[in-house]
Amino acid sequence: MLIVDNVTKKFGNFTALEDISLEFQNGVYGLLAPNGAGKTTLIKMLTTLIFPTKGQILYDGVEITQLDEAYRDMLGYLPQDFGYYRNYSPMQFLSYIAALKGIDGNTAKQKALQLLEIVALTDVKDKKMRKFSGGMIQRVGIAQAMLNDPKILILDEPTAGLDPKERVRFRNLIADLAEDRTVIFSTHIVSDIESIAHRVIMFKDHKLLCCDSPDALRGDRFNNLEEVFMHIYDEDGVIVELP
Amino acid sequence: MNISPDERDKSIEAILAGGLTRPVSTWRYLRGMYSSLGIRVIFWESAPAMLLSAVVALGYILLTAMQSAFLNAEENLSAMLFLLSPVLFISMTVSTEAIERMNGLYEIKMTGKYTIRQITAFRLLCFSLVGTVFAVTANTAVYHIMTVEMQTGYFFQMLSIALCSLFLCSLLIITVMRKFRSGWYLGAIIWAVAAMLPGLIFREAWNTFLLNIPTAVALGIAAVAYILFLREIKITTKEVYSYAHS
Repeated sequence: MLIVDNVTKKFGNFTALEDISLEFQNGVYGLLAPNGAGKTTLIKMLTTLIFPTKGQILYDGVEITQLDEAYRDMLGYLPQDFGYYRNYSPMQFLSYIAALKGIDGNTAKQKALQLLEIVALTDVKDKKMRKFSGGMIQRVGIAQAMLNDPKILILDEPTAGLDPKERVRFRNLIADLAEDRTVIFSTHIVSDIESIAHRVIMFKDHKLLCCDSPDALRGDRFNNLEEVFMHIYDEDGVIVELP
Repeated sequence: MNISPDERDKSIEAILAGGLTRPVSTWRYLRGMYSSLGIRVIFWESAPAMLLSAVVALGYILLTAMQSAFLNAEENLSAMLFLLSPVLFISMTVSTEAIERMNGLYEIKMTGKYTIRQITAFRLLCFSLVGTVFAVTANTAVYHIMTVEMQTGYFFQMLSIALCSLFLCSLLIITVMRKFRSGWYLGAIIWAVAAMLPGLIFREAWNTFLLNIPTAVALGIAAVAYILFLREIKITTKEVYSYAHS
């Protein structure tokens, strides 16, 4: 189990996140908040790219910095701006990332083929990625994040730039992947997580506002999560009223 | 925070395991990285950077040789040799880092089993060895082609100065890279200013000063700088918190 324990992150005088406590188990966790609310800061802390100013992040009771390499071994990450080598094929790219993850050549090849099938890119596995659409690149991104069969899969705004059909496909893929792992999925698009998230996490003034199921958030007052979101945040992303 | 008995036990086990495991030495770790990744993955997409570095170093040699020929100032060669290997080291470091930072994969590469920082530390170690070979080669070449009479002692003096500057530069670059997010180019700027400014301001006097540094002193400084550089390599491969404050 992944635990965020009273975590605060400051950048100079600016407090990006304050006193956040969360517990993650298997399932999809949707981080839903307007841009600038602190979603990426939390994700970067969970991926060990930055560290809390106060508090700690624990995996199975052990601080993730102490776990170091063992924690990164359990981690799959797709950042918001996913870069790739344009002149490489998905197979070549996945082999390279697999090497960085410490996976041996033969296992990497098998895993890459298996993942490319899951993300429906088998037909283009040896084609250069420079001709790929945004959706295809994102699917390569998901595949690279899954190479080490991670227990924690963290996706930062993975649906940005996808067309509606690709979004649906992507959501289904995430739902399948979350059966036996923790998937943390950041977005500011409500419909992305409404149907697949087991829990929705929202922030208010850089503090945790709620971590609850979509049903609980909707309650009797709202028809969908979009209404909840619109009710909570105004056009500028400022809280107007709690659900 | 409520911790279950199971989590408490796992936590105790992890602490004990950490305390009881024999720590892996840096060299074993780097050897392991090399055998696991191989030279192709460690220097992935670095070929253009290497080519650029070779061009920069050759350009620097040609420029200095032309200057020496036109101004008939062969004594300036000591200043040229002082800067030559660091120029190669810096151009290799900055160009490979620039490629890493621009391709949009830096964050993914920070979350792998071998992080890009650890790979960079390995690369810097390789670059320092390349710089050493280059310094020896360049000094030997100068020794053979120089028209002024050159004694063996002078050769070793020039070599010691070249190694001294290379290892001081390597130490500066890795220290600044470890401590600052922009360290990869900040270190290069600091070195360029620190190494070139005396030559530009004091000209002949700086050259005379370099020529008068005893070989033993220069080699001593080079050895200390290299030991400190290796220490920085060790810290970079081990520490987790280094990028916490960047």
